[in-house]
Amino acid sequence: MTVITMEDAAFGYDGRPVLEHVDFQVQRGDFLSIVGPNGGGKTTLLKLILGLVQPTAGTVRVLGERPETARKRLGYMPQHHHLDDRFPMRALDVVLLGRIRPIGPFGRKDRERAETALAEVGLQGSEHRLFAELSGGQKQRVLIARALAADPEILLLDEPTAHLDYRVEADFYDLLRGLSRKLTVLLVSHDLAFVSKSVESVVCVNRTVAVHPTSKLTGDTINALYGESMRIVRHDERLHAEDA
Amino acid sequence: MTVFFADLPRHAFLQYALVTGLLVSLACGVIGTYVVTRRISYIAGGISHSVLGGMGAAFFVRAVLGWEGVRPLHGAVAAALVSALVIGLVSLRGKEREDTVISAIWAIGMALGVIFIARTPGYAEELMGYLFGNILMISPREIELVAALDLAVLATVALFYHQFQAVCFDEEFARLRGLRADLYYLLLLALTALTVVLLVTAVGVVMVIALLTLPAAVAGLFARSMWRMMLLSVILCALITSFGLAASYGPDLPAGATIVVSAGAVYLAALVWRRFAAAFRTGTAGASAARPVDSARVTD
Repeated sequence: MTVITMEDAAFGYDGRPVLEHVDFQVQRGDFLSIVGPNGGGKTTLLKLILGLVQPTAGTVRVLGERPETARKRLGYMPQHHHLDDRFPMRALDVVLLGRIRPIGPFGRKDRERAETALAEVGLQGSEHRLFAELSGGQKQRVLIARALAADPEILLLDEPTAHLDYRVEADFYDLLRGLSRKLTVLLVSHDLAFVSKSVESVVCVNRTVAVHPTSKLTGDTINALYGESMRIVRHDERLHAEDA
Repeated sequence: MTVFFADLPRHAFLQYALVTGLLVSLACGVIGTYVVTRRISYIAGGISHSVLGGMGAAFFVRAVLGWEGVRPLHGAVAAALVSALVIGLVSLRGKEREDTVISAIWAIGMALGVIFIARTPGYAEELMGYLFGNILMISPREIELVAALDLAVLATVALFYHQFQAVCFDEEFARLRGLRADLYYLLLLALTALTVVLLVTAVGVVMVIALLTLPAAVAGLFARSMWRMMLLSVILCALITSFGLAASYGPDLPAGATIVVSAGAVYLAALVWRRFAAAFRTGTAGASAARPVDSARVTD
């Protein structure tokens, strides 16, 4: 069953095209990674799916509906650098926001679901820790838990591998792989090593979109995507930890 | 200080002032928490200065045109709400630079107030009261209005606490969950406007921003959730206004200014305390100790 369909979709700011002639489909249960150079339109693609921006041409359908209608059934993990790192909220308070309604307080069921979601991302016991005091990787997990607390059918993750300590990357693959068994998962990632090990197909975004199975992710496809010769480096063994 | 407590039972105006300070603290601590965490203190500053225009206009209308029902506080409420709406709409939809528009409203509001007051015969000393506060001159009628505004602010926050938190923390996510984030933002600015009016009665147009931000900023150093920050901030605000009032009375200092200086002293003391506490915990007094968030950071 097709859950996301884009037909000849386009988007641009002030007449400058960001994405053009986008035709692609996502099937229920897919585990896809969106890759491409900076400014190539990866985040814009996510925003089109979420209905945060309107296509300037073509159509976008999500779960058979307009994105604005369907988006309550989507879970979204944004990059967290836009969040105020001094905001006085505990991890559980942040996760509860996944259960927010247009009006009214949270109930017992909301709290239980939020606690389960934190456990799902491996953060049981951290409910009362301040969000600001968590490491980059832990913050990302809390934001995934916030998305999961809404019981979404599709999970969209923007750069979930960006701030990870190499020691926890393996756990993170397992987490996302586990989630992809229950949900349709789309993630934006720069990390081609992560991508080639984890996901089934890659959605290559650079002005337009092409979908390749991961097994066919060769040097030529990557060169075509990034427009220059790239060397594929497996950095499983790297010593440098971004988050340490 | 002892003079204040000796005179308190004898003078109604002292009792009115104390009650006003306590009432104002409720809204101040709660809304101050939003102003600090959502980082809209410059907006609050713009609104508070524009209030002078509204008060001046009401004052003019009452004295020159003889509309006895119009009180300066009515003008203040109207001006604050209009300014909040204009700034809110500009920040949500406008193509203009937000801070430029805030500065314009800030200055034009004050200028209109000065012109209106200059055109109203014989009341130039009122201007000082509006600018720097005259909590000792407050009347029971005004206390009623203050209490009504207080109730409106607190009831709205109680009703939408979680929604405000969602919008302040991550507006985009709140929108994705179906919240009308724009409306909540405008509502928050409207509540800020009403709170500004409350504070104008206590400390005047110029010093509102200190009372709105400093107690909440101190609370933010210690609180681990929004409602705890609000509670602590209300308590601090009540203590600071009461202390400032009492301390100013004996030596006949201006009450509003004494309250603001007290708030500043508490803020400074809290920062120093926080720094030493962090240094004590980590055993170093270096730059990293100044930011406890970093020193407490835990690796996965």
